[in-house]
Amino acid sequence: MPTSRSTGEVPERRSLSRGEVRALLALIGGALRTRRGAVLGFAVCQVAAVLTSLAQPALNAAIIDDGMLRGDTETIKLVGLAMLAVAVVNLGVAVRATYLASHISSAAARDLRKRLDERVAAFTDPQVARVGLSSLLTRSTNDVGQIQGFLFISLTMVVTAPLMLVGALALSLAQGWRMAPVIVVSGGLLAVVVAVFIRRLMPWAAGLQGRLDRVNRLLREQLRGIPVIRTFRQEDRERARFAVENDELTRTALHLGRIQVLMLPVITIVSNLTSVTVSALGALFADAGHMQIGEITATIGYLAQILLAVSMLTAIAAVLPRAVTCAGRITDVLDTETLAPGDPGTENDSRPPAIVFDGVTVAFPGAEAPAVDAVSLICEPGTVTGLIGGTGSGKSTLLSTVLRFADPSSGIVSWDGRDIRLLAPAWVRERSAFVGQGTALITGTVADNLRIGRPGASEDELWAALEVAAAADFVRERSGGLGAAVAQEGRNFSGGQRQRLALARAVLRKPSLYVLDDPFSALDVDTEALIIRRLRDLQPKATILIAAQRVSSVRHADVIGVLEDGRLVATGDDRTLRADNAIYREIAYAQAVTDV
Amino acid sequence: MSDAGHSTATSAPGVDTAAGSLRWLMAQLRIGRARAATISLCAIGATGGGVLATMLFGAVTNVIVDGTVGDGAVMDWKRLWTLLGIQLAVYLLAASLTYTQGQLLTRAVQRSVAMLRTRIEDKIHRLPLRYFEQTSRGALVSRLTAHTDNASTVIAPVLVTVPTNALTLVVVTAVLFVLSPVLALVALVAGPVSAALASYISRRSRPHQETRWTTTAALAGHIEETLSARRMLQGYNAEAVAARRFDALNERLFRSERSAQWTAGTLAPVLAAINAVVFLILAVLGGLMVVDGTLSLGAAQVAIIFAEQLTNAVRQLAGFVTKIQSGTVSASKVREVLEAPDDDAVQSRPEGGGFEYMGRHRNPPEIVFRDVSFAYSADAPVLKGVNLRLRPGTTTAIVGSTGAGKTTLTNLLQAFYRPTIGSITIDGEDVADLGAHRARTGMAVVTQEPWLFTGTVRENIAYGVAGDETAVARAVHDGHLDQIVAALPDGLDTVIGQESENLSAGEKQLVTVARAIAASPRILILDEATSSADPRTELLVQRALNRLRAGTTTLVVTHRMATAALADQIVVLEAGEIVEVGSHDELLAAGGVYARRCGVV
Repeated sequence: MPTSRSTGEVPERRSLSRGEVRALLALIGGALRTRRGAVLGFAVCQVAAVLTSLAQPALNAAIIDDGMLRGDTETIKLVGLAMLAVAVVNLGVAVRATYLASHISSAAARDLRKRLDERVAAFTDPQVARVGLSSLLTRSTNDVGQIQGFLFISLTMVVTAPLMLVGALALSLAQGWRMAPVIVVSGGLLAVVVAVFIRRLMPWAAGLQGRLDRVNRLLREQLRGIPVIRTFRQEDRERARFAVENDELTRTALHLGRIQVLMLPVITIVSNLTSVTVSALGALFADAGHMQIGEITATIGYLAQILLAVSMLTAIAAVLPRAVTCAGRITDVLDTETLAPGDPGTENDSRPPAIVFDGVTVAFPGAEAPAVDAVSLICEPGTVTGLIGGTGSGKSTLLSTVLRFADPSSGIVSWDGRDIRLLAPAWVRERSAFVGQGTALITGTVADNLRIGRPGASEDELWAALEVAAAADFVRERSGGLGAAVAQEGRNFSGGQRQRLALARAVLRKPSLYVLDDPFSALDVDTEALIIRRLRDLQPKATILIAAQRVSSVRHADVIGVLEDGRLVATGDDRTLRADNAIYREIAYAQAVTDV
Repeated sequence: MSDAGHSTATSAPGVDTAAGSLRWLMAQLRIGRARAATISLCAIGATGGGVLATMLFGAVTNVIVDGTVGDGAVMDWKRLWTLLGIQLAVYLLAASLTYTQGQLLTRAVQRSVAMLRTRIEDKIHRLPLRYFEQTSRGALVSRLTAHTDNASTVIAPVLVTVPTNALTLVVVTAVLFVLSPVLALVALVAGPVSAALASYISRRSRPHQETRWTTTAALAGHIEETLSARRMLQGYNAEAVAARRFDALNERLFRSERSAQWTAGTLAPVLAAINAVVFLILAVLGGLMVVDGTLSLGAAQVAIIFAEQLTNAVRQLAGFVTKIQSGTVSASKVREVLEAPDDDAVQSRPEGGGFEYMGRHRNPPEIVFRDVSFAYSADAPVLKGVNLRLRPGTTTAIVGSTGAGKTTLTNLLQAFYRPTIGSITIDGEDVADLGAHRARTGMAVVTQEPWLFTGTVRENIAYGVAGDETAVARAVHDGHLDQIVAALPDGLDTVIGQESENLSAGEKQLVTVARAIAASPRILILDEATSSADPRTELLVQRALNRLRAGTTTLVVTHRMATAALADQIVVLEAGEIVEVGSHDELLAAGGVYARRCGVV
């Protein structure tokens, strides 16, 4: 299944895989099944709409044969009234059908978005990395929109068309059964022509979308990299890169266009030839007394409706490829197995745990080397354990196993002697407080963000937590204080302020275990020391795991582990490591600046 | 896709008139008068054929009526076959004309759009750096792609829709009046009525469309935020908080989508109803007139068909303005980009004194800044009288507070801007004389924000030096990427890109550093190049860069003492002026600004 990371060439024709088509049918089928009432009402309305549309040529025939040719003006007026009634009914049911189709497709989109949201909320980092952050976003919004549009078009056109086709065929036969062979052959020929065209069209339409995406992405990249491109003098290379993508896009679009342009004349010719044949045969039959003029006209009228129905079916060629691709991508996300958080549990067991890493290895699928390699470390209850290492050393990954954001490929992480894999993730998370490197704040107020740590905390408790995290001052200064607005991802706060708010939230939770991943990186050494002191004063018995790149963040720890390339290369405390470990010393030296 | 509309004073005059944009666009697309005329003529021919065929149908109907109705009627077979034969020929001709027109049109449109895209992409490499800093990137990309495509949708209406529908309107109205003024009037009324209803319906649906777009954007923003704060929410068992917000937005989106789609969807049934009413009025009136004898049956049937064609033609012409409206708006946006002035720093003067540089294996140059002053705009000088000498093969670190002008120095060296006063020379040659392209010979840069393009790790590293495998391997090792590359799913052949989740910010930066190392440059510019990596890794990487020393003249912008200490000379920049110059030890001994910052004094 192609993912956002497909390597190599994008094929110019991508045939729609069976799996994707099945995925689309499954999604659509599910959507329709949940709304049986609306679907039934829609079906009834559509059938009525089709019937009333099909009545028109028959009524016209009546006006001609029973009215005009007999000179019967009364009949003409009566049939006219009937036509009016039919038109009014048609309008009513058609409008109702449109409403129902909108309702069904919009509700289906809503439900699909909800399902995606629930699934993605439980994704782990490797799972997000596999699909890609922006691809996940696209799948949750644009792709669902494509499915919705497809469902709407399917309901309003693709369902109507066969009904109309069959109805028109049946009624035209009722008008003059002698014409039957011509009508059937023509109808069959049209259907075959359309089917052939659609089959040829779809792979190219699918390829076109891929090409467009590539051109877009290339342009965005070029725009972002202007200084680098110009300094390395690679403008011509970029122009060449673009030319390749542009040419491929144009070729695909041309090919697609040529097929589309051929379709209309061919369909029109088949239909027109049929109407000429009908006229000719009609003349012969009429002369022999077998058929009346009105019937001939009606047959031609039905031919027009058959043509209309067929051209509705071609609308599907435009939307089907994208809908199928989107269905595949959406189902890919929905089928991903996630770890259910489970039950947070209600025991008020606030004993700080011992966390033991026993030969823990974490390897990501396909990688040559593990991110964490056979790390064994004991974190006694009530102690502070520091993990120090550089970029790529594996400390973040190691910490993520404690909260079950990732599970070890081998080895055991245990909480008070129990294998953490046997504990529900929600249970572990309920008793710990996590401060990570990623986004920590969401849109809302400061109080909303803090209360994520403990819903229902009082304002006094909030202020107390802010004090510990050295955040009370700047929150007080903001207009609104605790009610101050937090923008998307906390962008209206500085990096240091965001970190302190995240720490305040952790403190508010009063957990048995703190898991802190480089929580002081944007703070200066003095503030860092202050917060650490206040935290230990507040909860001297909590178990704390803290990972950092700076020595100052872990100096105070009871045990410090030094990580390099995923392996634990030394343990000790600040004094012993400074004496014995070169890496620790190097890190200490490198940190010996704040800003120059 | 909406634009932030941050265009600068570079927009061309007279862009506002839609007609002007249209004319400009047609000229840009270079479709050529002959081809355009052919397309229009084919379309007109096909339409004319359709009209003719309809009239023939009426005649055929009359022949059949005359031949079968009434006593002693005899079918005029010869006339019938002739008419049918002509009708067949007309149909075939019309179909081939439609096909020809379609082919020509498709080719013309696609080639034009492709050429327009190429011109815009080429323009990207010519515009001054300033332009990109002032325009939002998202807006630019949408101009380049969405607006270009949208502008091309103007072609079909202009070349095909207008001529054919205008013709239909004129011819059909004329024929209808000839057949029967009464029926013609009825048909003529229907056209404007349906056009008016169409515009009314679209106006009613617009507010719903607006709500739909804004709610979609809000929902997308929420999803984006939830995705990025995912770990935090999971860590606090707070998934329900985000879910509640999601549900509220989701519900709102559902309602607005349903309303938008429904109100817009009522157009087709309403139009069909109008057609049906017109049809029945004409059928009844026509029928009465046929009974009276004032109209032949064939004519009555033809009138009905023509009435429908007339209604369609009027509606299409009325819709023409809105259809090309969005196209011309797009065209004017594209025009703004294409007519923005080129970067004058890009114009090199080849005869102006420089001799050809060989590239990688030349000796590192001496770079001198002589009395350089620079201001982006008249009232905000950034650099004042900077005098600086970078000796060949040395490393110079520039330190100073934010906004002191450090990055501006590097921008001037890279020839993105020209100094307002003073000059920069590379081995004695003024950069202004060399021109940007020559000045950048053997130059490499590592920016603070790492730039990766979609390609393998190998390709990203080999950017400045194509096809040299050993250089890449050496750069991977020197850049401390061995472990990082080994942990990737396909190692060096892993496809990465700007949004790649495979690498952290620090790791991406290291890749760009490796790119510079692989290029073996004579001039190397590092602008906070390792700020996202941890201090220790930065130290190791700087040491590796040290090995390039002898062959490279390096300019380093940094705020970390450990990095500055490795340089041959340190330059302290404050408010655009140099306040101290010296080596690390000299400056510490001097006890000035630098020493204070290092916490020594």
